[in-house]
Amino acid sequence: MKLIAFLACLSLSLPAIAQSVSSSPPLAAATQSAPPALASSTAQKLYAAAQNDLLQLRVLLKNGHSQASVGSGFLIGSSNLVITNFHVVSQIALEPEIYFGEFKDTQGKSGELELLAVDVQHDLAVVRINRQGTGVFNLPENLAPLTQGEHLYSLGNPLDLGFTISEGTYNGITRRGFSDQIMFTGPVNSGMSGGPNVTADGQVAGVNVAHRRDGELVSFLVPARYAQQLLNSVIAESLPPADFKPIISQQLLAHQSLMMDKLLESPFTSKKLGPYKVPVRESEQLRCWGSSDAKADKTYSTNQINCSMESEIFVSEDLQTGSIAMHHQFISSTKLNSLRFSLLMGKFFSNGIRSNTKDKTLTTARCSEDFINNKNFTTRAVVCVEAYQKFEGLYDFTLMTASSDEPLMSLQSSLELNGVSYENGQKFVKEFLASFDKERRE
Amino acid sequence: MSSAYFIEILNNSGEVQSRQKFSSLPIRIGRGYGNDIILDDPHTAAEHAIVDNNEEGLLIIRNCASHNGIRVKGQAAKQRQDSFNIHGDSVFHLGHTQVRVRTQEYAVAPEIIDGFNHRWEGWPLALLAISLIGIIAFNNAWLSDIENNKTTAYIINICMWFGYSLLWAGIWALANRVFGGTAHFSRHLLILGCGLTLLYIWGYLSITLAYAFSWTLLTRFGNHSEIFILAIIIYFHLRQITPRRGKRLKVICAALALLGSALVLMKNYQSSNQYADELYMDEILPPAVRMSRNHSLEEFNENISQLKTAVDEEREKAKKEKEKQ
Repeated sequence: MKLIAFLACLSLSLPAIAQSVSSSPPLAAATQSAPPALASSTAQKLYAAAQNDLLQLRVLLKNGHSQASVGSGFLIGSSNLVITNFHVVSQIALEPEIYFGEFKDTQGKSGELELLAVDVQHDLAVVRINRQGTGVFNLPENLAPLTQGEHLYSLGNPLDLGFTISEGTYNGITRRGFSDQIMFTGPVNSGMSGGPNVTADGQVAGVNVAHRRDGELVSFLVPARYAQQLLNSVIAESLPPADFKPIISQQLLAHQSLMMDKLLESPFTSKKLGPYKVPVRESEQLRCWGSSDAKADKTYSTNQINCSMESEIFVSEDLQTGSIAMHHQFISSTKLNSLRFSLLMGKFFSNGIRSNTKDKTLTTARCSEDFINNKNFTTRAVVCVEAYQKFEGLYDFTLMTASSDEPLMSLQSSLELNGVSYENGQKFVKEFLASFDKERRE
Repeated sequence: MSSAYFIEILNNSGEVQSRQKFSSLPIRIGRGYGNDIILDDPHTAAEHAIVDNNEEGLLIIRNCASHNGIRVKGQAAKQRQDSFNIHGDSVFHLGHTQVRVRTQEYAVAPEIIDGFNHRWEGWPLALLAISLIGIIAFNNAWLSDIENNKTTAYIINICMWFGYSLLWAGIWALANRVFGGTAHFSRHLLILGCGLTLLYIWGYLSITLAYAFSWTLLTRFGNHSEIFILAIIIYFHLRQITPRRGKRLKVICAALALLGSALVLMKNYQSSNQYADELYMDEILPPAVRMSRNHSLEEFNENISQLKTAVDEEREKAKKEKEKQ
């Protein structure tokens, strides 16, 4: 079984409509089977109370005033501050010379908005508008704990169709990313990003952020406490920062440091592939899957272990970062001779580093390669590093190795580190390489 | 006084199309049927020119009653001139017709030494070429036979090689027939066969050296040596067509090779921001081929440390480029 993990962010831009339409399950309506009368009236009450402070946020092109992406947001208390997702307003943060923001409320009134603070790690942002809230959505110091199965209600403007409220249940915290997310079993669609999710008594539980395209009603919320933390850092009347890029760089650096510390806190787990022992890291965040291909009519057989993360940090449409992946492939043959086998290995080794094209987010890759001695076997190793153009101090590392000690078997491994500091990238590569081993022949 | 005069009609390339011998003067040339030489050129007059001796006894060609007159090839028609002295090498334009007049006494150029190797011709040559191409084709089919291919795959692969080889040699042979008179198909096929062999041997040699000693530049810039060999192949094809212009051909082919290399560099830079054909050496050979020593993890790690400077330079470069825009 292979799981094709795909997290869809919920801000809505034109291509996203097409995707969400094509991937929307045909039985979506049926799965939301008739709710009990009580829940329905709760939703009614909640929507009636919330509609004044519920907003749609749009990012528009300065040139032409056409909308580039839309999401949702909500006013906090009686202030003029609005909580939304970072990915809804990322274009304003990164390219303020091209984009600006606008809000629209449930009565159809609209106005300008001003981006005040961002939290890329938790995908949150605070914007200021020229209107006060009515005090419906509050983030008190002490948030009441949620219990599994509790009804939750998500509000927002899905697919730019109009404001809606949808009902689902709280199903605990998922730790697939490096920060907690609430698992919400209910419909959350593109365009609802940044909208509030509340309990039956109207307390903010979280912020709509994503749903799984390969699942049914598997949605995620940013816990309310992160919104609280971000809000506490904002002084209501302060001026917005002139440039968000250094702030985002800082946050990405902080995130990668947390991630790398966590991934390197214990030695790698060793797995056997043929005579080789390969390092993998299995954790909540990094999931490993194995596969094998040994058909009788083939001249070679392969065994693979793939480990990858199901979550990434969204920075922009072109740049999702803060993830790592490792891949091991053991190939052996009894039918080929060593020359043909090695040429085949060359093909396996050849298209490992993709970033060979002009890229606006990353610089051109620079590589270092050599034969290295790995405990008791030799590998050809290549490391390529690309720097982030907009965010100083962040790099993508790609390591590729191909064992070169056996004529008819080969271990090819790769490691991808996205959005890490040079120091951490180098350290991870070093520890990864040092964790390979090979059984000695008896 | 000469005992025989030859009137030669030439084509545009200076080759003789017809030659007529006369034992007495004058010789009349024109479109009319009263002439000694009748021209089928509508741009000539009925009585166009006459070849005769003048008062001083020199051989001349004289305009009779033509409007277009006579012009010497290679000279601008400055003034209208009615008669020209005849030297054996001057060519006269009568309308669109080119005429040369020579006497029996004309001294021809010395004999050219025959450098053409007549034994290198015909079936044995073609057979050699076909076997070279066949070996390469089979080798290629065998190396790419990874998914347990059937015999048919080999046959198709080898036939494709032969097809393209024959097409290539055929085009050169056609060019040779047009510009050099004879086709020399088997020679062109052999040139291709030898060239491909050279290309293959160099390919294996360069990969082997690159892998054995970790000389990655050999494969990362491998396209350029291939272009160089291709230029050599083209040189020999051209040499076959015009054997007497060796030096000029060498210059042309060297220029072609340089142009090709420059285009590859530009294309690489355009698509990937760097000049090499690939980011790293992706060829792998059997472990027995490797000669270079093993590096320790510490050394490799040290290299990664040094890589940081290069990566940060790339970032600065990208930054500057963005500022320029």
